[in-house]
Parts: sequence; structure tokens; C-alpha cells
Amino acid sequence: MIPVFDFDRFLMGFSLGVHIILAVIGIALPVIIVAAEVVGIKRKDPYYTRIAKRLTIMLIVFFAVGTASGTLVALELLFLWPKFMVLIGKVAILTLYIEVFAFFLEAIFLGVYVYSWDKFKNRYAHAFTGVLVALGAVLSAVFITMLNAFMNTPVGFNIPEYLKTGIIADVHPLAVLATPSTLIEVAHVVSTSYFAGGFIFILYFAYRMLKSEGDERLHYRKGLNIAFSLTLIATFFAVITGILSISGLYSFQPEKYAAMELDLYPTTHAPELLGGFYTNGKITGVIASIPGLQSFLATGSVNGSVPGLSSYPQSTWPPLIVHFMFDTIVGLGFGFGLFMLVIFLMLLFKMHPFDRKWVLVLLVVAAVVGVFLLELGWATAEIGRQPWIVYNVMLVSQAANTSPSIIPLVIFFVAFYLAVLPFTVLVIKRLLKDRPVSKEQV
Amino acid sequence: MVLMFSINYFIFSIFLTLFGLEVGIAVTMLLEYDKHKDRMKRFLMPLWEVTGTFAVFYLVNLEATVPSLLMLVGTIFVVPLLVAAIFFILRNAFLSYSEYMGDKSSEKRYLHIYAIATLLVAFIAISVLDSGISGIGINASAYSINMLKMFVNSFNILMFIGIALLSVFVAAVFFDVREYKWFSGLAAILGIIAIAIATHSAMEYLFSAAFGPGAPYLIGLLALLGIALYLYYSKNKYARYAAVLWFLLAVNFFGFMQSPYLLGGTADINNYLATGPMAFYVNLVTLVGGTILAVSLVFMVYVSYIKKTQSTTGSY
Repeated sequence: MIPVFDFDRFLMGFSLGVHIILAVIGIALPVIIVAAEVVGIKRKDPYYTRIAKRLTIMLIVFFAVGTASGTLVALELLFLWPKFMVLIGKVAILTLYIEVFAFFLEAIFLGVYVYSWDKFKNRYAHAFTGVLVALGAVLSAVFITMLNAFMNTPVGFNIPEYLKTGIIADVHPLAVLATPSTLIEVAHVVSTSYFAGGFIFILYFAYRMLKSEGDERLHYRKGLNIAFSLTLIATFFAVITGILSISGLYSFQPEKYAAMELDLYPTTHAPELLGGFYTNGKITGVIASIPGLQSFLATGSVNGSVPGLSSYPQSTWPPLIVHFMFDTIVGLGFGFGLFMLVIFLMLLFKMHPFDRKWVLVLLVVAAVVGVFLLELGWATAEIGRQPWIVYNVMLVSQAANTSPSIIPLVIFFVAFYLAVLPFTVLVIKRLLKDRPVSKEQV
Repeated sequence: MVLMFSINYFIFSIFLTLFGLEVGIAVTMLLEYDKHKDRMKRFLMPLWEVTGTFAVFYLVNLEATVPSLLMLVGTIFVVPLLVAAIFFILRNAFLSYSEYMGDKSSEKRYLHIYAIATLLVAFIAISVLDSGISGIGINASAYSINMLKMFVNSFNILMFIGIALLSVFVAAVFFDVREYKWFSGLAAILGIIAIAIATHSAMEYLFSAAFGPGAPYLIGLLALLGIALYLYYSKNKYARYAAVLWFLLAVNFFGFMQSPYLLGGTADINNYLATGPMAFYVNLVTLVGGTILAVSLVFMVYVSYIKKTQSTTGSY
């Protein structure tokens, strides 16, 4: 019999897995749109203005579905994890509360931006309202990530007292804004959001380039320039912050770190294991073991000591599949870094990569893998914290709503999402098809 | 500390007022689509995201204001509110789909789906509010809810009808929908009567609170009715905006009649409110964020509804 809290877990994971794609689109798209508008004004190039106007159609639809799915996630937090939300309400609610105002900034100025193209004498003023949309979107991500950082490294109340008596005391409301893991988590989430969101539009432009010719192809080519520039910068920061995130885990969540590195025992001179699974108390299937590398990456010295799972009760170990997931992320992450570097060098040496079919095909494939990488990174971070909902404070099973009425809702919601998302993409496709690029007014 | 909950209810009442206008628009879209679609959409399009955001604002403010109540709220209202969220997604999605739809019949179909979804969200939301106030269908000690009783009771049905009628009145005055001019005045009267009968029918569940069911309630109802009729007959160009404020006043009037009690007088809000430093910071964020929000909204209304189209610099 599957416990009800596993249904809660599945629904939350599924909803977030869907929402995360809509969220990264909402974060990256305003930046691409504003960049296109500004370049269009500056160079007096109608192609870029056309790009901005057409992408705005996508933004409004994705925003509509994204905000609704965000509202759903907010409700799910309350309904699936009521005990968790009581703790959040008493200790860490400021992050969610401030986020609401960032959300307002985004929603209000989206309304202004979309419906006021012809209301400003100075066109930079219109573009500036788009900057506020982009700012609101990224600030939303920042404050939501702060809550996640609290779940990983809880602070701001008397934890020993809470664990002993269940009473929440000595609350410091502002502490949640600066937990030990906040800075690095926020930096990594923001950079990976631009990375994945940027790749979704690389996918769109590269695919459309493959399918079009002449003037229309030039339109998509210019769109690809902008999406690629954003993604290139984001890739650089995503790789750097990804490496720093692991150091953060080493310091603040050693059990999660040990699971991701598959360290069964605390040790010095720790090797970096590539591949490998934990079965029957042993590690098997290791592809390669690089001596001292893990210690070096974590501590700066090949002789540095790293934590091991044996220091913790087995009941609190996360599922050790996270090691395989982590290895996949690292491999793909470096692969992406190299790929983007090659394209960048081709651009630098005027080899016109976007005029080559094989590059466009690779970009389409890479974009799909990029979105997979985003989901995998998020899943690894969340599975790595299991069985805790708040690390070392509250178990997922303790926080859950265990009412059986959840089960039919889970089935219904999954079916609903599976219907709405493809339909949304189809509608956007139709909306853009009804307005050919050549007939778009600028 | 009741101030904190009053702020929370005020946020809710802004959401309900904006959403109430949408209910009026939804009814008009369903009945008189061809005549009024363009005018309604012109009003709706820049604003619908803000309405949705107010729903989230209310939810998170509730979590900050009464954290101890979340176990109860989170457990009993899970099914109706998650179902409402589904319709909320449909409302958002189909309204946005319709925005750039060149094909007129698809646009009409999408806007009708939007209108139906909006009415369903309104019905569920009002049912949750009604049962939160009256406690009808809720067994708080067992953390359980009888959904049939919650939705199908005279208090809830009549309240919904009353609020829907008031929404039609406000929308008709606000948009100057001439076909409904005679009906809108009647809608206000019928709406107030429906709400009066609703509250009377649920007297055993209501009014354990400060005001009681006597003279203040009756005077309040008559005052609301008087203002509605004045706005209906008024030729003043600002009457349409005053109608929206009237709706806000009505929502607050009904809410504060119960203050500070919930669940038919069994739960005193004061026992659940956030206290100490958290209360201070929540109020501070409300003040600062609320000010930024107000300024941004004024700017949006100015640009979207007042500012004239310009010839731009830097055109090609």
C-alpha cells in the first residue's frame, strides 16, 4: 500500500516540474523581448521590433498559464503540507510575502508593456516598462529560492526547542532572507533559469530557421542572436555557481553531499567517482575513479576530508540514485559549456555558425537536453534533501496532509496538466501562424 | 491585532471587487457577446493578471496573518479550492488564448469558456468564504467537511445569487450597458434582498460577533441599497467608478459584520493571529509593498485607460 504522503509528494513534484518550465520561460523571455526592442530602436532595425512584438504574444499566454500554475503550487503548498506551512507562516513567510510584490511588479508592468506600444513618445520608455517585467520575474525567482534555501539550511528560530517540544520560539523573521545557503542557491537558480529559458528560445528560433527561408529566415536568425547571447552568459554563470553549490553542500548539508558523491565513509584523499550504484551495502558499476579529485574540489586540498553516509542513520539517507543524477548533471553541464564555447569561438572568428544546418540541428537537440538538465538539476536537489522537507527539522511524512481525498485529485491534476500544456503550445503556434512574420506591424 | 486581520480582509475585498467585475463581465459575455465584447475586453485585458495576483496576495497574507489556522484551512478546504484552481487556470488560459485570436468564432468560444470558468471559480470561492464564515458543513474539531452541505444550503446559494446580481449591477453601471439599464437597478435591489434573506436563513450560524443581527445590520443594508439606487439614477460621470467602490464597501460591510469570528462564531481570529516580531515585519512589508503596489496600479490605470496614443520617436 502506497502511503498517502507519497501521492502528496508526487503531485507537488509533478506540479513543480511543470511550473518550473513555465517559470524559466517567464524569467528569460522578458529579457529577450526587451533586448530585441532596444536593439531595434538603437539600430533602427524593424526585424528586432518585430521579434519583440511576436514574442510578446508568447509571453502573455505563457504568463497566463504560468501564473495560474504558480497559484496552484501556492495552494498545493498549503493543502498538501499544512504542518510545513504552519512552520513557514511563523518563521519564514517573509520570503513568500515579499515575492508577492515582485509578482505584482511583473503582472502590472506586463499589462502596461503589452498594451502600450503606442502610448509613449520615447520608445525607450516603453522598453523600460519591459525591464520592470523582467525585474519582477527574476525577483520572484529570488524570493522563492530563499524559501528553498531555508528548507535546506533552516535558521531563524530555536530549532533544538522545536525538536524537543514542538514549540516555535525565538523567531527572527529576517533570518530567512540570508540563510547560509541563500546566496549560492539564488545565484545558481537565477543563472540556470536564464540558461534553460534561453535555450527554449534557441530551440524556437533554430527550429524556425531550419523551416524557413528568405526574409523570414533572417527574422529568426536575428532572434537566435539575442537568445544565444543571453544563454551564453547564463551558461558561464550556471557552471561556476554549480561548482560553488557543491562546496555549499559540503559545508551545510554534508549528508546530502555524501549521497551525491556516493561517499559511504568519511575519508581523506577522496576520489571522484564517475558512475556507480549502491547495492547490498556495496558500490558497483563505477566507470572511473579519479584519486584525490573530490577532496580537492571540496576543500582545495587533495588530502582534505569529506563526510560519509555512515555518520548518519540509514533512515535519513536520501535515495542514492542522486549520485547517478548528479554525475549526469556534471557531465551534461560540462558538455554544454564546451558546446557553447565552440559556437562562441565560431562567432568570434566569423565562421557564421548559425548559417550552418548542422549547428542549427545541434542547437535544437541541445535545447531539448538543456530543459532536461534543468529538470534533472531541480529533481536532484529535491530528492537529495529527502526524507526531510526542512533539513534535520521536519520530515516529509510529518508535514503531509494524509487525507485519502488527495488521491483522486492527484490523478485529475496530472491529467489536466497533460492536456493544458500541449494545448497551450498548439494555441501559440496557431496565433503566430495567423500572423505571418512579413505582415507583423512595427 | 484585529488590524492585521482587517488588512487581510481588505486585501480579500479588493480581490473580490475586481473579480466581481469579472463576474459581471462574464455574465454579459454570455448573454450579449456581440454587442459588448470589444468594450469589455478593452477593460479586461490589462487588468486580469492583476486580479489573479490579488488572489495570491490574499493567500500569502493569510498565511502570514493567521499561521496557526493553516492546519485547519489546509485540511478542510483542500478539495474545493484545488478544483477552483483548475477553473482559475482555464480562466487565465482561455482569456489569453482569445487575445490574439484572429478567427472570430474561436475567439468567441474561448471567451465563453473564460466566462463559464470565471463563474465557477466565483461560485466555489464564495462557497468557501460562506462556509468559513458560517461554519456550515464544517466539523472543525474533526478537521472534516461535508461538501454537499457546504455547497448546497440556502445561505450559500442565496449569497452567491445576491453577489452575482450585485456584480451585474456594478458591471452594467461601470460599462454603461444600456440593455441592462433597467435590469441593473433591479439587480441591485434583488441582490441586497437575496443577501438579506441568506443571512436571515443562517441566523443560527451567524452573528455571534460584535455587531449582531439587529439595527446596525439593517441600517447597513438599507444604506447600501440607497447608495446603489443613487448611483443607478445619477448622471454624474464618476458614478461608474463610485459603483466599483460601492461594491468594495458592500464586501467589507458583510465581512466586518462577522469580525473577529469565523466558523459560525466558534473561532476567534485573535487566537490565531501572528504576534511578536513576525507581526511587525509582516505589517512593515504590507505598508512598503502596498505603497509600491498602489503607485504601480495608478501608473497602469493612467497608461492603459487615460493616456492617449502617441506618435513615437525612433520610428522607422
